[in-house]
Amino acid sequence: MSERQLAWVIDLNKCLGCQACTLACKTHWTTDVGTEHQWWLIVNTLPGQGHPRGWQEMGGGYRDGEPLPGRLPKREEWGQAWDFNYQEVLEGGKGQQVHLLPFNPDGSHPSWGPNWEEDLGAGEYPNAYFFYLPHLCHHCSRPSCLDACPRDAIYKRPQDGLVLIDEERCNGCRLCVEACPYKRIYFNPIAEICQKCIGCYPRIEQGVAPACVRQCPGRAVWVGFLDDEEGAVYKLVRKWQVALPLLPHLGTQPNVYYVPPLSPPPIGEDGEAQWGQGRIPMEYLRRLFGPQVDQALATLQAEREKARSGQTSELMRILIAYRFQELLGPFTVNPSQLQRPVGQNPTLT
Amino acid sequence: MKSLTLYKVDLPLENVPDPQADVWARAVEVVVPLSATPLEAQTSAYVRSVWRGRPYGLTPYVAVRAFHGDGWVAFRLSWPCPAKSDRLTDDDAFLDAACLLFASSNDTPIAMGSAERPVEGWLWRADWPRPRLVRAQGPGTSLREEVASLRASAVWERGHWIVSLAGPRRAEGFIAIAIWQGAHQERAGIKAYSPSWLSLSWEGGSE
Repeated sequence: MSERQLAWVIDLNKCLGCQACTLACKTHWTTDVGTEHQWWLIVNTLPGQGHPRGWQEMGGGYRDGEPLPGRLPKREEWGQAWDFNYQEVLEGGKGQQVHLLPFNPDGSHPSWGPNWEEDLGAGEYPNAYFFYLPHLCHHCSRPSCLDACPRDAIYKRPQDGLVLIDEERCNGCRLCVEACPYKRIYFNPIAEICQKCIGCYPRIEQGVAPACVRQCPGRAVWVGFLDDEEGAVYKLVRKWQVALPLLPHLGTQPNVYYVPPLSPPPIGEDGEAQWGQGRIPMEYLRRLFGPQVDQALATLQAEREKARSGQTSELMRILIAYRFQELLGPFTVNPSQLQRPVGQNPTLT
Repeated sequence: MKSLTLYKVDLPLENVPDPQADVWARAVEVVVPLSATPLEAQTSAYVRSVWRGRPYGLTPYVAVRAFHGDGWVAFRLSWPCPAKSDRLTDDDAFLDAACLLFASSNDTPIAMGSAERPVEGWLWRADWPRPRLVRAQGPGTSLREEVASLRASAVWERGHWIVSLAGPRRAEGFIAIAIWQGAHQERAGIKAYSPSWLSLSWEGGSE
């Protein structure tokens, strides 16, 4: 257990699925050889199998405090780093005959990848539904990856609770990948080490919010300390209890919290909206966010109605995030004002 | 305690024979029984829980022969390995490997030494062109280093690995051996090991 705990809150009612967070993370951290296939943060459409494919069925985490067995995803289940036939389509004069296509490194066509099921979701017209789930390391308070590492290469920082892998100590045994129930750890086959979201700790240490938070155009992602009673994260998680951990029954006490999605009413056979119900099945949401999701959605609905009727709602004000800085917790430094080390990627996000 | 005689040959290190050369027949073979590393000694809480009841450390024995020459020492290890794993073909693939651990005294903790009794070893892996030097001060502490002075040659045939490992002469008088079968997802502390040290006896003297 750390002295303080950083946490993320992601409002699934605001996430656009635009992958700006994904790309901000990618361009920062996973451009080296061996990391091309890694997406430390990825936005997937739910319901869906996600990335890696079927990760919710791969085990890991705890039951009654005991570790549960997990299995390692195969490369095909993750999806490999694709290349595209840009040359052929854009410069080869075949733009009218050939489609732009992704290729695996061995030339084959991919059968899976990150965000493979974009906007598919579930349900039948006119009651189809989906929502987006940005997914990063949960920097758990009881990290099963840390328990699994035989070399003490994984540690939880006391000052902010970030869970990090010491790449000098890691020897790539992948027990952490097995043990993580969220499958948010990747294997780098070139360096033969395991790698994952680092919570943008070099930015945090400079007072800069993580790239995924700063880059979100929907103002859907907050970061902050869970014990900061003035902060949005505390208010959404602890005070209003509308931000819930993902798959809390897996026992790792994750620190990425999600504001669950409200959904429009289903359309009945008579073509009329069936008010009072949500199109997304509650059983599905309970499976993802636990039984607290009913109360969280009720609170959201009630506060939304309150705001609609012209009353003041602290919760709605927080969720709207009128000021960008409200998303950043104490990490309000603008990265463009920092001196960048010579030779570092000059992206300013 | 079993003893292994290192036979003296008049060869430079560069000419240490491949593991199938006739010269190895001159060295008496010692068969070392192996066991799965104890579950309770695993440094991973996940392994202690999840691997309970799951078979591992499946290599029953390793046969060892050894030579020494002018400033060098060579060992030939052979062990049954029905399913070869010598390429990192996927993210759930692990590789066949063997480690030869050296100790100066037989009261050195056989599980990778300790802070008081650090150990060194030679780690061979099926996809590496040469072995790596390993230093450890207890379970889960090993650090690997590529050194040019170590060499290895290996063949896999009829369900067995035969591997020769050679390098600068060691001062230690004891060895222990660990074997990983990649096809069974053996890695880290999940392996077969010799539960006791094997003493070394140098033909022609230890110097």
